[in-house]
Amino acid sequence: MSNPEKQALQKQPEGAAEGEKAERGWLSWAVGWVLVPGTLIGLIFGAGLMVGVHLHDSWFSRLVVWFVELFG
Amino acid sequence: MNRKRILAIGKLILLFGTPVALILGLFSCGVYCGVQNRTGIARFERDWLGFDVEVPDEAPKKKDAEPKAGGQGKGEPSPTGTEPQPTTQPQPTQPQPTTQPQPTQPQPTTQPQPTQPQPNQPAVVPGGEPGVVGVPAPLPTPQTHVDPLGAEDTARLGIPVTIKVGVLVDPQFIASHPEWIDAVQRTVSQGSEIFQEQFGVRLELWSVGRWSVPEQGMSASGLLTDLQGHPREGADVLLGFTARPFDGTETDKPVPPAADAPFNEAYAVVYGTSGHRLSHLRTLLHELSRLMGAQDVTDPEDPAWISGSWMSYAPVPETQDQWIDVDNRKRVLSRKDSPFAPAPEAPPGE
Repeated sequence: MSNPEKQALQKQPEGAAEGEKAERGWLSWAVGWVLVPGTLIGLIFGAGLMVGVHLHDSWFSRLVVWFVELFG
Repeated sequence: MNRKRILAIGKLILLFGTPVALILGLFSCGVYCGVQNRTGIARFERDWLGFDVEVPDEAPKKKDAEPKAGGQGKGEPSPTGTEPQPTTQPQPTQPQPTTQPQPTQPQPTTQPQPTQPQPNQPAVVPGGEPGVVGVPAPLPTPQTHVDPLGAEDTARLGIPVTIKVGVLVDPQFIASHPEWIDAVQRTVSQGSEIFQEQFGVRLELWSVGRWSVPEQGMSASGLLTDLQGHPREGADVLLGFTARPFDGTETDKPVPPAADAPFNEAYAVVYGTSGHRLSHLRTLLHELSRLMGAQDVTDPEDPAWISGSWMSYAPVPETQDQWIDVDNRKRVLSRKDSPFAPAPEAPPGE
């Protein structure tokens, strides 16, 4: 392969890799820092919500309410 | 060594405990929010998510609730004057209709207290009420007012009797009732329910047929004579439904059977009551009762007339409960199980 051809080939993946890196970076950042944590937090919070709505008389719910009311 | 261990343990606790505490704290926040907003979230689940959940009453407020231990009754309002705490599961009340072992149409209710209708009140004309244009208000199911009875009459009331009723309808009735068979069925059925309440007698519609009589020019006795010429074909009684109005002045009717007569009468002409949508019900009750010994109440001063007994000629609104006076009721009860007169024999040579 000639040198100019090699140089051309080397340039293309580098340019594409930079663009892809930028997109992947943004996407991965969003997934890793927003989507997944947000989903985890939402799931944990939602589970607590369901427990509070449907098991409001359970010992855990009463404990939480009592604890909050200590500061309320 | 101890210091290093303590430091290591402390780091481990922080390392693992912090996320656990965060998760637990987050979960507890959810629990507290759920407890405080139970009603709204349950309503959201029921209305938006389609879950089969019961929406509780409003969640207790802070410092007033004390939800644990159930110290305050849930139905009692809090002493600080905030929102009350009703029961969490309201129980729907259900109406309790009167139930009676009758498989036919809706049964009339019984009222032990006598009604006091206005005397001489003209019949209500449906559809002609002021402010009502077009379709008249639906007529409620005819009901009867049943008086309490003594022991002997109560025993008679319990004797089951079924009367097979044959009906002939004249051309005027057919002209005024396009669904004349249904009208006859409906009338006899409603009469049967009233008779069952009052006398323990069930009316069974045995046959329905056309009655070929002139529309005009025949007296009541002429109509009756013509009716008596028709065969009963297995029915106990034969009634002739005519669209002629019942004006209350018919005096040439046969005398009802006496208390000791061996047979009940078996033929009667049933007239229409002008202004009543159930035009022949009241007269049906009147005539059938006469066949079994009831007597007409003709004195307007009679309490039975004033109270609107169907054995009287008092004009009563169709919405008034059907009622028979006590004396006539006893007469019918005493003769309810008597046989009906046999069919008159045809004259020789015909």
